[in-house]
Amino acid sequence: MTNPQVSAAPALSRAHRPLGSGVTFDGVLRVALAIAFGFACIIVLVVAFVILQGAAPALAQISWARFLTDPDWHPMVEMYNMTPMLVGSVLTSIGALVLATPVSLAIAAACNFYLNPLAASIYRRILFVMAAMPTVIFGFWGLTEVVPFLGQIKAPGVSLLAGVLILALMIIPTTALLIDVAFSKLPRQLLNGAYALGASRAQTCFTMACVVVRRAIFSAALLGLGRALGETIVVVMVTGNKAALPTSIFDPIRTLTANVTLEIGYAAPLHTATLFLSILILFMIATGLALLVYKLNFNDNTQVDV
Amino acid sequence: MTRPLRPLTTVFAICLAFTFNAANKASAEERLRLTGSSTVAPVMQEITKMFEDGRDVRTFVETGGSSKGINDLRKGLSNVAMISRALAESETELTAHTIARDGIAALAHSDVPLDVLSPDQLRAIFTGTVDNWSELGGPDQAVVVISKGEGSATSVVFNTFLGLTADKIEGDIVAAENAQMIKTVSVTPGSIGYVSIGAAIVDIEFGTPIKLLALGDVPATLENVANGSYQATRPLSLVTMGEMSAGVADLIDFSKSAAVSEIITDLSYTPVTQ
Amino acid sequence: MGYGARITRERMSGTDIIVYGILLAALALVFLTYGKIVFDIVMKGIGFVDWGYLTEDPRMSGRAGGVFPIIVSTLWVLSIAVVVAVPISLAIAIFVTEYLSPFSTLSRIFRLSMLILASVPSIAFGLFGATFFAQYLGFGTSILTGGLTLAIMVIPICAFAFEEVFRLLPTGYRNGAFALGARKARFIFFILIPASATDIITVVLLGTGRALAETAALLFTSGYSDRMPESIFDPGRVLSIHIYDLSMGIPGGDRMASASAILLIGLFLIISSVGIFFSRKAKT
Repeated sequence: MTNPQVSAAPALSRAHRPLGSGVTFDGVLRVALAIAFGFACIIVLVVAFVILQGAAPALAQISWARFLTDPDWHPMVEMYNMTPMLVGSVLTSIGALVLATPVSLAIAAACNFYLNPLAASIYRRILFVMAAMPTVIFGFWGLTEVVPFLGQIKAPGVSLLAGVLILALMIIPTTALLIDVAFSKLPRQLLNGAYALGASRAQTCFTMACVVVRRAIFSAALLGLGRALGETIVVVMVTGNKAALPTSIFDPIRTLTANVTLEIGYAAPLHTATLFLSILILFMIATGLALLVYKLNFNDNTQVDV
Repeated sequence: MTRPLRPLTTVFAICLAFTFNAANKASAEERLRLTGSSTVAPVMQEITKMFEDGRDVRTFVETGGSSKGINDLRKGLSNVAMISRALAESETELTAHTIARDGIAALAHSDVPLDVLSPDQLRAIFTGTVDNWSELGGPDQAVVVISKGEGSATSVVFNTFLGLTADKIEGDIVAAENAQMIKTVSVTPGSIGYVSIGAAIVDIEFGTPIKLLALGDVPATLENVANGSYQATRPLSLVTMGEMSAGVADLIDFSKSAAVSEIITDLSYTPVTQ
Repeated sequence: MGYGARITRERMSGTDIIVYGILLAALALVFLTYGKIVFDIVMKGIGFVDWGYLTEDPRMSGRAGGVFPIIVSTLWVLSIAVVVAVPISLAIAIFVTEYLSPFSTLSRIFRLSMLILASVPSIAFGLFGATFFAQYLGFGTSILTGGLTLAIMVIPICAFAFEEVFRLLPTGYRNGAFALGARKARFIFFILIPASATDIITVVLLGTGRALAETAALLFTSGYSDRMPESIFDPGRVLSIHIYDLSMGIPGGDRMASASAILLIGLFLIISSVGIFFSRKAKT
């Protein structure tokens, strides 16, 4: 952090001078900031409302049970079973999470406890670039490189597994960087203490540091899960989009997000409403995840955030 | 403001200038919005570029699917809809102006040993009655059926041609767009899908391992679409609602004229002027 | 930053070496995979990236010609997102750090709503933008709609990061300013923002990078038209949509999709290296 180059204060600050009828710049600023704040807090409600409104016709005209019990997903002939897509979304994102979290943890641990600082900073830079890589590039690469490879193992190649692999690749940079930040914020006294007690690096890292930053690891994983759950482009390209329950990881699946991208352009009004409904479901899952992260990180006042 | 802020304020000022510069240029000429089929959009994208030459009009071509085009047109969000299927019975208040024809053909990975499939065989494959190529005289290899998103114009045309409804199709994989269909077929041995002939020909020229299957005894070629011997075709049309404005009428006349037939042929479709 | 490594350079026990081996394997695997992704894309597309590609209009739906109008649309959409999102998120963060107690109910509402907003799938923002900005507010499918949609996506990211930046301001600055009789406004504009300026820029660039990479939110909002936009009310195709369309919708578009992907990566590298430059400057 630089020193602020504070300009020499004029005799009486402008902020002190009343703007007329007792209104000060200070007061105006306060109100302006409060308005921005209020705006930010209601955006999420506006977004939720617009999506709910879009989904309303579906909720009104189709009974809840039908989204679970209809024989299939064929909106053109009024069959609206959404379970396969829900299962698809959950399976891909959890699969990606299970794959990505240990790898991310390994990367973060290596960058903080094993690699020399230069190598670690180069590695972080690479992760930083990959974290911002447009997901369409991952999807594109997955379809042309990973899918044919999986197809050789078991046809057809586009599958749950392909989705899990590519999504994991996509979220590793995000989760690894988040865990890395948590590690790098560990107080040095803590590390020095561990080393002074004769702990090896592995002991320091995996029995001490990981325990201390467990909340950060867990919330990084949850944020990664959220990204995987919300990803659209990658899953459309590599999971095969078949609206059916998978029986193995080599089966194609369809996620809720893919369902929207696939069908919204062709959808009749009621069909569109069911697609909004699938987004509403995702929205609710995302809210649940956000609540979890919130509980982990902010709710406990006595917990020192590391 | 103090010195460390300068880069920030500069970046911000550039962005702001950009935005205002853009916001101020209100253009006076007529503006036409076209939305709809992702098959027709690339064609109209090129046609409108030519159309604007020497005319005081600006056109915007937006994709999103035939039904989105119809919806936008009905809501008054666009002037012209683009569709790659015939108008449905519920859409009879609209007028379609066909500018080209496109054939839809079964598309298979190059390793599929068959070159010809009859409509009956296609029906058996796409309804899941046949799930191994050996049942059709090929080697013992699983059939991977690739279909397109439910409601997409290509799938509606293809299903209607086979006399099937959407729920009868047993697809193993669903593709979102033409190019994804082609890519998925090309990386999946033993797969079969369906696609616009024009789209497939471009990729075959690039050496993608796919092939178009003949329907009955008629090979899926642009010539056969043009001379009418290939049966599974669809019109690519512009759709208008009610009275056309002068600009819209002009665009539609232009899009049907011989002047654009080269564009349409280049994109591997068959112009109606032939 | 590699602190553990530095302090115990001589002490590698048996388990350490095994663990090190496993970690190195994970590092190498991820590194090689990412390397392969970038390598594949560069090999496929680099032959098409030249001056003409940057300055010409696309032809044949992007299968030939360049991407100049697409670059312009991209920059416009990004600019709108930055112009809208940065002041708002700055204001939110200032309000939260300077006017609210971290444990007050309003602070909790802020954190929760921003967290939810940050975890909402981007396609939900796409549908929201297409409904709210394009239809309710009547902006249509346009650069403005796309920019505003992106702004809403970026606000939580920036607001959180700004809050963190402001909380890291040494307490001495705050105490000193108020001890000298400065009012809140004066403190904010003459101490808080200038002192955090470099970090603010880094955050802005981070948000820009996120916006640059976004595809799903723009699919239904900013448009498909590959024409040069004349105003922000025109539709404009951005680079990520161009890549999506070329690889999904345009037969034979793969090569050009790779070329555009190289451009996008290049653009991001430029943006992030500007960020690194500022944070370096901040540290020295």
